[in-house]
Amino acid sequence: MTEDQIRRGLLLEPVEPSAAFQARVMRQIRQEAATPPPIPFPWRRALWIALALIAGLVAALVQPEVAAEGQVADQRLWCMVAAAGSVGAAIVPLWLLRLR
Amino acid sequence: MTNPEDLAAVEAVLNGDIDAFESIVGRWKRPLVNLAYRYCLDRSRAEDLAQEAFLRAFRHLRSWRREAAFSTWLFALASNLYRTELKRLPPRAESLDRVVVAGGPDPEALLGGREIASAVRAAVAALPGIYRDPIMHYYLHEQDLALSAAVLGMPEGTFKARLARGRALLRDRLGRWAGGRR
Repeated sequence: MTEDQIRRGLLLEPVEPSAAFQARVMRQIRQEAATPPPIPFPWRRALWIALALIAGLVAALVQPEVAAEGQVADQRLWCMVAAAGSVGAAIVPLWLLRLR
Repeated sequence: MTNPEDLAAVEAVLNGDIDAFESIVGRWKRPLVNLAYRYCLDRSRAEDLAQEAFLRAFRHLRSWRREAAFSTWLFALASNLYRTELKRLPPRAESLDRVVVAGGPDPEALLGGREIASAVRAAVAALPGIYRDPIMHYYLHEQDLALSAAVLGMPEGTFKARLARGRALLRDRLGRWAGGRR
Protein backbone atom coordinates (compact mmCIF):
# COMPACT_ATOMS: atom_id res chain seq x y z
CA MET A 1 0.00 0.00 0.00
CA THR A 2 1.41 3.36 -1.01
CA GLU A 3 1.63 6.54 1.02
CA ASP A 4 -0.83 8.16 -1.35
CA GLN A 5 -3.40 5.40 -0.86
CA ILE A 6 -3.08 5.74 2.91
CA ARG A 7 -3.38 9.51 2.69
CA ARG A 8 -6.46 9.27 0.50
CA GLY A 9 -7.92 6.68 2.84
CA LEU A 10 -7.52 9.02 5.80
CA LEU A 11 -8.72 12.13 4.01
CA LEU A 12 -11.78 10.63 2.34
CA GLU A 13 -15.31 10.92 3.68
CA PRO A 14 -15.16 13.55 6.39
CA VAL A 15 -17.94 12.98 8.90
CA GLU A 16 -20.57 15.73 9.05
CA PRO A 17 -22.04 16.31 12.50
CA SER A 18 -25.81 15.89 12.61
CA ALA A 19 -28.00 18.97 12.24
CA ALA A 20 -29.03 18.85 15.90
CA PHE A 21 -25.48 18.52 17.20
CA GLN A 22 -24.75 22.19 17.79
CA ALA A 23 -28.09 22.82 19.49
CA ARG A 24 -27.55 19.77 21.71
CA VAL A 25 -24.10 20.98 22.75
CA MET A 26 -25.35 24.49 23.51
CA ARG A 27 -28.24 23.11 25.56
CA GLN A 28 -25.71 21.20 27.67
CA ILE A 29 -23.49 24.28 27.96
CA ARG A 30 -26.38 26.47 29.14
CA GLN A 31 -27.42 23.80 31.62
CA GLU A 32 -23.85 23.63 32.89
CA ALA A 33 -23.66 27.42 33.21
CA ALA A 34 -26.93 27.52 35.15
CA THR A 35 -25.70 24.97 37.70
CA PRO A 36 -24.29 26.65 40.81
CA PRO A 37 -20.58 25.98 41.37
CA PRO A 38 -19.76 23.21 43.84
CA ILE A 39 -19.04 24.18 47.45
CA PRO A 40 -15.26 24.23 47.88
CA PHE A 41 -13.89 21.74 50.35
CA PRO A 42 -12.87 23.49 53.59
CA TRP A 43 -9.28 22.30 53.70
CA ARG A 44 -8.24 24.62 56.54
CA ARG A 45 -10.92 23.36 58.90
CA ALA A 46 -10.33 19.80 57.81
CA LEU A 47 -6.64 20.18 58.67
CA TRP A 48 -7.43 21.30 62.24
CA ILE A 49 -9.85 18.43 62.65
CA ALA A 50 -7.29 15.95 61.34
CA LEU A 51 -4.69 17.30 63.80
CA ALA A 52 -7.16 17.00 66.67
CA LEU A 53 -8.00 13.43 65.70
CA ILE A 54 -4.32 12.50 65.46
CA ALA A 55 -3.69 14.07 68.89
CA GLY A 56 -6.61 12.08 70.31
CA LEU A 57 -5.28 8.88 68.81
CA VAL A 58 -1.81 9.48 70.23
CA ALA A 59 -3.31 10.19 73.65
CA ALA A 60 -5.32 6.96 73.49
CA LEU A 61 -2.23 4.96 72.60
CA VAL A 62 -0.06 6.56 75.27
CA GLN A 63 -2.59 6.13 78.10
CA PRO A 64 -2.15 2.33 78.68
CA GLU A 65 1.65 2.76 78.85
CA VAL A 66 1.26 5.39 81.53
CA ALA A 67 -0.99 3.04 83.46
CA ALA A 68 1.48 0.20 83.06
CA GLU A 69 4.19 2.30 84.64
CA GLY A 70 2.22 2.30 87.86
CA GLN A 71 0.83 5.77 87.64
CA VAL A 72 -2.79 6.24 88.44
CA ALA A 73 -4.87 6.39 85.29
CA ASP A 74 -8.12 8.09 85.74
CA GLN A 75 -10.45 5.89 83.75
CA ARG A 76 -13.33 8.29 84.12
CA LEU A 77 -11.27 11.07 82.57
CA TRP A 78 -10.46 8.92 79.56
CA CYS A 79 -14.12 7.94 79.21
CA MET A 80 -15.03 11.60 79.14
CA VAL A 81 -12.33 12.31 76.56
CA ALA A 82 -13.61 9.44 74.40
CA ALA A 83 -17.20 10.67 74.72
CA ALA A 84 -16.19 14.23 73.82
CA GLY A 85 -14.24 12.87 70.85
CA SER A 86 -17.30 10.95 69.64
CA VAL A 87 -19.53 14.00 69.91
CA GLY A 88 -16.89 16.06 68.13
CA ALA A 89 -16.65 13.54 65.31
CA ALA A 90 -20.43 13.57 64.94
CA ILE A 91 -20.63 17.35 64.54
CA VAL A 92 -17.67 17.61 62.12
CA PRO A 93 -19.79 17.06 58.98
CA LEU A 94 -22.30 19.69 60.13
CA TRP A 95 -19.50 22.12 60.86
CA LEU A 96 -17.93 21.57 57.44
CA LEU A 97 -21.25 22.12 55.69
CA ARG A 98 -21.84 25.43 57.46
CA LEU A 99 -18.80 26.91 55.73
CA ARG A 100 -19.67 29.45 53.06
CA MET B 1 -1.68 31.92 16.14
CA THR B 2 -5.20 32.09 17.52
CA ASN B 3 -8.03 33.01 15.20
CA PRO B 4 -9.27 36.49 16.29
CA GLU B 5 -12.86 35.20 16.25
CA ASP B 6 -11.93 32.45 18.69
CA LEU B 7 -10.15 34.92 20.91
CA ALA B 8 -13.13 37.28 20.93
CA ALA B 9 -15.53 34.43 21.64
CA VAL B 10 -13.41 33.14 24.53
CA GLU B 11 -13.18 36.64 26.04
CA ALA B 12 -16.95 37.04 25.73
CA VAL B 13 -17.63 33.66 27.36
CA LEU B 14 -15.24 34.44 30.20
CA ASN B 15 -17.09 37.73 30.69
CA GLY B 16 -20.36 35.86 31.12
CA ASP B 17 -21.76 35.76 27.59
CA ILE B 18 -22.51 32.04 27.37
CA ASP B 19 -24.06 32.34 23.89
CA ALA B 20 -20.68 33.39 22.50
CA PHE B 21 -19.59 29.78 22.95
CA GLU B 22 -21.90 28.88 20.07
CA SER B 23 -19.50 30.38 17.54
CA ILE B 24 -16.70 28.18 18.95
CA VAL B 25 -18.92 25.11 18.63
CA GLY B 26 -19.89 26.13 15.09
CA ARG B 27 -16.29 26.57 14.00
CA TRP B 28 -14.83 23.45 15.63
CA LYS B 29 -17.64 20.90 15.64
CA ARG B 30 -16.61 19.30 12.36
CA PRO B 31 -12.91 18.80 13.23
CA LEU B 32 -13.74 17.54 16.72
CA VAL B 33 -16.38 15.10 15.53
CA ASN B 34 -14.04 13.89 12.78
CA LEU B 35 -11.20 13.37 15.24
CA ALA B 36 -13.52 11.44 17.55
CA TYR B 37 -14.74 9.36 14.62
CA ARG B 38 -11.17 8.40 13.75
CA TYR B 39 -10.73 7.09 17.28
CA CYS B 40 -13.98 5.17 17.64
CA LEU B 41 -15.24 4.61 14.04
CA ASP B 42 -18.79 5.12 15.27
CA ARG B 43 -20.66 8.22 14.13
CA SER B 44 -23.07 8.39 17.05
CA ARG B 45 -20.39 7.85 19.65
CA ALA B 46 -18.15 10.38 17.90
CA GLU B 47 -20.82 13.04 18.44
CA ASP B 48 -21.18 12.09 22.09
CA LEU B 49 -17.41 12.31 22.57
CA ALA B 50 -17.21 15.66 20.77
CA GLN B 51 -20.08 16.99 22.88
CA GLU B 52 -18.22 16.00 26.03
CA ALA B 53 -15.08 17.66 24.67
CA PHE B 54 -16.94 20.95 24.14
CA LEU B 55 -18.40 20.73 27.61
CA ARG B 56 -14.97 20.16 29.09
CA ALA B 57 -13.55 23.04 27.05
CA PHE B 58 -16.28 25.29 28.41
CA ARG B 59 -15.54 24.24 31.99
CA HIS B 60 -11.80 24.76 31.64
CA LEU B 61 -11.77 27.77 29.34
CA ARG B 62 -9.82 29.78 31.92
CA SER B 63 -6.99 27.27 31.79
CA TRP B 64 -6.20 28.13 28.16
CA ARG B 65 -2.86 29.95 28.23
CA ARG B 66 -2.71 32.40 25.38
CA GLU B 67 0.81 31.44 24.28
CA ALA B 68 -0.64 28.36 22.52
CA ALA B 69 -3.24 28.69 19.76
CA PHE B 70 -6.80 28.07 20.91
CA SER B 71 -7.15 25.28 18.35
CA THR B 72 -4.04 23.50 19.71
CA TRP B 73 -5.42 23.68 23.23
CA LEU B 74 -8.86 22.49 22.11
CA PHE B 75 -7.48 19.54 20.12
CA ALA B 76 -5.16 18.53 22.95
CA LEU B 77 -8.06 18.60 25.41
CA ALA B 78 -10.27 16.60 23.04
CA SER B 79 -7.55 14.04 22.28
CA ASN B 80 -6.91 13.43 25.96
CA LEU B 81 -10.61 12.96 26.56
CA TYR B 82 -11.04 10.59 23.59
CA ARG B 83 -8.08 8.47 24.62
CA THR B 84 -9.34 8.20 28.20
CA GLU B 85 -12.86 7.35 27.08
CA LEU B 86 -11.64 4.73 24.63
CA LYS B 87 -9.53 3.09 27.31
CA ARG B 88 -12.61 2.97 29.53
CA LEU B 89 -14.85 1.66 26.77
CA PRO B 90 -12.84 0.39 23.78
CA PRO B 91 -14.40 0.58 20.33
CA ARG B 92 -15.67 -2.57 18.71
CA ALA B 93 -12.67 -4.14 16.99
CA GLU B 94 -13.22 -4.45 13.26
CA SER B 95 -11.10 -6.82 11.24
CA LEU B 96 -9.92 -5.65 7.86
CA ASP B 97 -11.65 -8.55 6.18
CA ARG B 98 -14.98 -7.59 7.72
CA VAL B 99 -14.61 -3.95 6.81
CA VAL B 100 -14.38 -4.73 3.12
CA VAL B 101 -17.33 -6.95 2.41
CA ALA B 102 -18.14 -5.75 -1.07
CA GLY B 103 -16.07 -5.85 -4.26
CA GLY B 104 -15.19 -8.26 -6.99
CA PRO B 105 -12.37 -10.73 -7.18
CA ASP B 106 -9.99 -8.04 -8.42
CA PRO B 107 -8.06 -6.64 -5.42
CA GLU B 108 -7.54 -3.33 -7.18
CA ALA B 109 -11.30 -2.92 -7.29
CA LEU B 110 -11.41 -3.59 -3.59
CA LEU B 111 -8.72 -1.02 -2.93
CA GLY B 112 -10.66 1.92 -4.20
CA GLY B 113 -13.02 4.58 -2.90
CA ARG B 114 -15.00 3.90 0.24
CA GLU B 115 -13.57 0.44 0.79
CA ILE B 116 -10.00 1.61 1.03
CA ALA B 117 -11.00 4.44 3.36
CA SER B 118 -12.73 1.98 5.67
CA ALA B 119 -9.82 -0.43 5.55
CA VAL B 120 -7.26 2.28 6.26
CA ARG B 121 -9.30 3.70 9.14
CA ALA B 122 -9.81 0.28 10.69
CA ALA B 123 -6.08 -0.43 10.37
CA VAL B 124 -5.17 2.92 11.93
CA ALA B 125 -7.62 2.43 14.80
CA ALA B 126 -6.07 -0.97 15.49
CA LEU B 127 -2.51 0.43 15.75
CA PRO B 128 -0.91 0.84 19.20
CA GLY B 129 -1.81 4.27 20.62
CA ILE B 130 1.68 5.75 20.34
CA TYR B 131 1.61 5.24 16.56
CA ARG B 132 -2.13 5.67 16.04
CA ASP B 133 -2.35 9.19 17.51
CA PRO B 134 0.41 10.79 15.38
CA ILE B 135 -1.09 9.34 12.19
CA MET B 136 -4.61 10.47 13.07
CA HIS B 137 -3.58 14.00 13.93
CA TYR B 138 -1.14 14.38 11.07
CA TYR B 139 -3.80 13.66 8.45
CA LEU B 140 -6.58 15.45 10.30
CA HIS B 141 -4.48 18.63 10.49
CA GLU B 142 -3.71 18.47 6.78
CA GLN B 143 -0.22 17.10 7.34
CA ASP B 144 0.91 20.00 9.51
CA LEU B 145 3.70 18.37 11.47
CA ALA B 146 4.34 21.21 13.93
CA LEU B 147 0.67 21.59 14.83
CA SER B 148 0.12 17.84 15.19
CA ALA B 149 3.18 17.48 17.45
CA ALA B 150 2.03 20.46 19.55
CA VAL B 151 -1.45 19.01 19.97
CA LEU B 152 0.00 15.73 21.19
CA GLY B 153 2.50 17.58 23.38
CA MET B 154 5.59 15.89 21.98
CA PRO B 155 8.79 17.14 20.33
CA GLU B 156 8.72 17.20 16.54
CA GLY B 157 11.56 14.66 16.34
CA THR B 158 9.64 12.13 18.43
CA PHE B 159 6.52 12.83 16.45
CA LYS B 160 8.31 12.25 13.13
CA ALA B 161 9.81 8.97 14.36
CA ARG B 162 6.45 7.67 15.56
CA LEU B 163 4.74 8.79 12.39
CA ALA B 164 7.30 6.93 10.27
CA ARG B 165 7.00 3.80 12.40
CA GLY B 166 3.20 4.00 12.32
CA ARG B 167 3.15 4.34 8.55
CA ALA B 168 5.48 1.37 8.19
CA LEU B 169 3.21 -0.74 10.40
CA LEU B 170 0.19 0.43 8.45
CA ARG B 171 1.75 -0.34 5.07
CA ASP B 172 2.79 -3.75 6.35
CA ARG B 173 -0.66 -4.65 7.71
CA LEU B 174 -2.60 -3.30 4.74
CA GLY B 175 -0.12 -4.85 2.32
CA ARG B 176 -0.51 -8.26 3.93
CA TRP B 177 -4.28 -7.87 3.94
CA ALA B 178 -4.36 -6.81 0.28
CA GLY B 179 -1.98 -9.65 -0.59
CA GLY B 180 -4.24 -12.12 1.18
CA ARG B 181 -7.17 -10.96 -0.92
CA ARG B 182 -5.45 -11.72 -4.21
